[in-house]
Amino acid sequence: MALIQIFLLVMSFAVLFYFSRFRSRALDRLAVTLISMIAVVMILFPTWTTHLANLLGVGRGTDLLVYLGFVAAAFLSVLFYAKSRDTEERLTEVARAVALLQVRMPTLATDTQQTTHCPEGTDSAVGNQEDQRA
Amino acid sequence: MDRRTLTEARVDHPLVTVNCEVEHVTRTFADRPASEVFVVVAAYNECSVLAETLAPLVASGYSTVVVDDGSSDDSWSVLQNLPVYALRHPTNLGQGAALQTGVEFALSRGARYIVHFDADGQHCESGIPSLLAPLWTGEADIVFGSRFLRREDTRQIPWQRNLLLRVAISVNYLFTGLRLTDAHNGFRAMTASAAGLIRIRENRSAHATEILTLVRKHRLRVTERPTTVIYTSYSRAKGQRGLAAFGILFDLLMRRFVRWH
Repeated sequence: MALIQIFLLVMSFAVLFYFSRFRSRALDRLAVTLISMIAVVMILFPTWTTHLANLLGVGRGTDLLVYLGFVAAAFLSVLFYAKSRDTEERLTEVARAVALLQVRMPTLATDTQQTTHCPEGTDSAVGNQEDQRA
Repeated sequence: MDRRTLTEARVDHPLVTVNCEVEHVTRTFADRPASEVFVVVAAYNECSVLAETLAPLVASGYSTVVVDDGSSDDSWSVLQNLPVYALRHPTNLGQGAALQTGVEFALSRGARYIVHFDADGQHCESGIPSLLAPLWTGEADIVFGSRFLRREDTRQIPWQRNLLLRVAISVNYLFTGLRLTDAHNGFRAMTASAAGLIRIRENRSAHATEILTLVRKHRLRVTERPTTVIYTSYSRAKGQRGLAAFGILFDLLMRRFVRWH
């Protein structure tokens, strides 16, 4: 097994492990900074890149860049997914608080005129359904 | 004791043909009033069937809580004219979130029992007492309705839905270890204390599996009761598609392996 394969496997597991256990805001920022710095260095010093690539058993520096790029992309994808879910949960809490503040209490049936326009059947079924159930 | 006249009625509506047994009864359960039972309905753009779905619930004396999940139709106006508790999410969050909001509200009003009930007319109100029965005999903390306990209920299910459900049931078992015969049946009943323990954090369709996970986590006593689900052309037009099912799996896996707090 080439060194690069071992290296990439280790990196992939590190990413997985990071997100399931050790995640913290500070480490997120560190990781993003590190990724950016490595990208800059590799672009500015292509000879170093080639040297490192050869050490790991990869032919070209560009190839190494691509491999590392994938790891970075995976990391960033999961990172932003996590941030997005966190925001969604916070949004839910706020929306729920708003809903609970404006409860409409049951009133007895009055003879208020029914002025609502509920479309027949298929309109609401086919409409903008974000919520679906079995 | 209940004074009841049992009639089998076909309620005809251009969209919904309901074949439920309609019991005209003032419901009491072991001398406790039906108003202690809070039926929580999560509704999103169901204005055309909402009034009919809610009418039997109100007539039986249950405390009905309807959460309008940011509908873009006239659901909210319809709710103004009904004797129900109406809550509205400012934006669409999903059925799980809407149920959680409704349940939290119900508990704050002193609910003794909580029932989850679908807004689209798929559930029969007359099935509620059989779901509640194990709760007040103390046999269980939470009761799930199942379409697969009676042949006549199972036969109602369109074959595509049936197939998808079988897969979902296996996935549920994999994720939760609970041997249940139905997955994603929105008809559930639970005690107030069980409801307090089940805090739904999955906003969308994954909430059904999340409930099972929480049941397992808190070691709640579970049982199932047969329920009928009415599939009309209206409700068939909605419903889980394969892609949505994949979405559920994805959400569950993410929650299991990624921390975002």
